[in-house]
Amino acid sequence: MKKKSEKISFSYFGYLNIEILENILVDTREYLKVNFKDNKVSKRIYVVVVEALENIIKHNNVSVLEQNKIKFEINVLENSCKLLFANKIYCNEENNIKNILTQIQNKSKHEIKELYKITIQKAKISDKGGAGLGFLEIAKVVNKIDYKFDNINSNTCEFILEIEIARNS
Amino acid sequence: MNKIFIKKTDRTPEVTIDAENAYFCMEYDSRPEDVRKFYYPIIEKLKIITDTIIQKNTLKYFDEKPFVFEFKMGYFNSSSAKFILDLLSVVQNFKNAGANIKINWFYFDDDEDMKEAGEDFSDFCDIKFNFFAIEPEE
Repeated sequence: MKKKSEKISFSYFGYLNIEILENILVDTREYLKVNFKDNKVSKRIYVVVVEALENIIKHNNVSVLEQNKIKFEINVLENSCKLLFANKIYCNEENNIKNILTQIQNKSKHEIKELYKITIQKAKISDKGGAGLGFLEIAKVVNKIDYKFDNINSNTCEFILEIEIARNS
Repeated sequence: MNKIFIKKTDRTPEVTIDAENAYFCMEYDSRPEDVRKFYYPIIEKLKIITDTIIQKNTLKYFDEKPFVFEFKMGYFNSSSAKFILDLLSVVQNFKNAGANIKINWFYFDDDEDMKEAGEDFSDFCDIKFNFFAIEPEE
């Protein structure tokens, strides 16, 4: 249930692959250009959308992805924007994601920067093209990261990532 | 060939390497589908050029005219950031060998995050950057 002041301004529900990602990003850019006068905020939203959706493509198990519809929303509030990403994962991937996000959550910008510095210098590019920097890149530009896992069955669950970006930062 | 020009696409930046004129430039957006395939040849080429200059002992050529590296990025994703750092480590080695270099980092004047990204790279590779704020393109 959405709060009264919260409105979904942009949303996508459906399959995700490289071609679809391109279309989503073109539409997102257009939406941001038309609806946000503050380029700093719109760039931050774009950074989060790219990293979060590329994460879904790069890190999800292919067999799950084949039947996986993702959900992506940009909700505009008076003083902030909330972005939501939901995708299906195998339950055994839950701990890995939790470990990464626990390291990032509630850290100061300075601490995030230090962690980013260590991580980028050690980073190795995976076969899927990831550098393990996606969540950190998000953390650099946002004000709050929340997440949860909703069980679907004994093997799969839905990973829900909620990001808040201040509109007047 | 000491000259390379890679045209920009929707996902990849424009890249110029011009060894004769001591100039490197990368501009626009970077989020390649295959980040290794895009960046490895560029890093390799730059490494060959700088290593050749060091081996031929022609570093003095740059005493009066520095080798200029320019970054005019609108956006780059996290995987590209890793490769930009790898590219800068080639520049760092070149500098440490005694080359006179200059790094110019351009950012849109309403994009402080891009300026900060440049400051971070400068800190990571311990090289001074020159920063230039430019007006966003319409």
